[in-house]
Amino acid sequence: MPITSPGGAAQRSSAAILLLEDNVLVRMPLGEYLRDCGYRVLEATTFAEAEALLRAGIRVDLVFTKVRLAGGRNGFTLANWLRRNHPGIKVLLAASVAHAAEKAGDLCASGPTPSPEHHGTVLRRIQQLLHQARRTGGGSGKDNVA
Amino acid sequence: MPLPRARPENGSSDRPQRTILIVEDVAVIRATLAEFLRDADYRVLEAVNAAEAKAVLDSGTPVDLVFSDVRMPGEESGVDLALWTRQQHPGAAVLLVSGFADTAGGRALPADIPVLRKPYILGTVLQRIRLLLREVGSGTS
Repeated sequence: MPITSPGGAAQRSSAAILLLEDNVLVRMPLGEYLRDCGYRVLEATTFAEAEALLRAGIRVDLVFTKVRLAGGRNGFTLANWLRRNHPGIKVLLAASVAHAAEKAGDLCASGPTPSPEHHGTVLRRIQQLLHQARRTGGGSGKDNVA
Repeated sequence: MPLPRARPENGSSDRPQRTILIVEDVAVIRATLAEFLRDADYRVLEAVNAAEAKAVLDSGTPVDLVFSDVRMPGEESGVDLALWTRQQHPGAAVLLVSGFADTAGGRALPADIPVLRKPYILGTVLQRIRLLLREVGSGTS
């Protein structure tokens, strides 16, 4: 369902990415990077959240997630569910955080607005945030970047 | 379902972009609020609970306003988060959202924490946020 604004103002045509990532210190930089390239980015932390957003009819063109997710779930299960229930939505699975940054770079290269930032910069930011969180005792520590 | 739109503030290009951290565990509400505020030219970060909100604030990412429901999954309520933010990150304004029946775990809402009552319309959210961010002034933390 395309997004329309009341009053007939210009329709937003940017592709919408649903970013499913349960670690906020990974999700935040990835989401911001994709938004800087002109994508609308919706954020979800669990399968249930992703399903809720889709069930609400919010426009999603691509679901972007990691293969390994919290709670022992994996991205393949989600991909299969999407293929059955939302065949028009593309799925992009990343094997790791580093791989996700690379994939985000690919998305930005073909995005609505070319981003001056290389995906390596985003990856370094994620690594910094995770490292800092581990050092100060915060963060879940469950993400290996590589 | 079309997401509602807001108009960007007049002269928003003259001011530095402010950052709002939304703390809300219902995905559709969070997504609606986030898109609405992004359309109003705010940079919006999203957290599902107090732990994520604290991780964002502690990460050093500058946040001008924390917009949180009083109800939250887990031990901490939005009030706990608001008080923690006041102490640890005093540069960030706080706006709590509360329903009539919300008790925040039996805890009274402190009188000096701004509260937005449910039900609310998005225009009111914007109004309250604009007011709070002007009061905070230049936004240095």
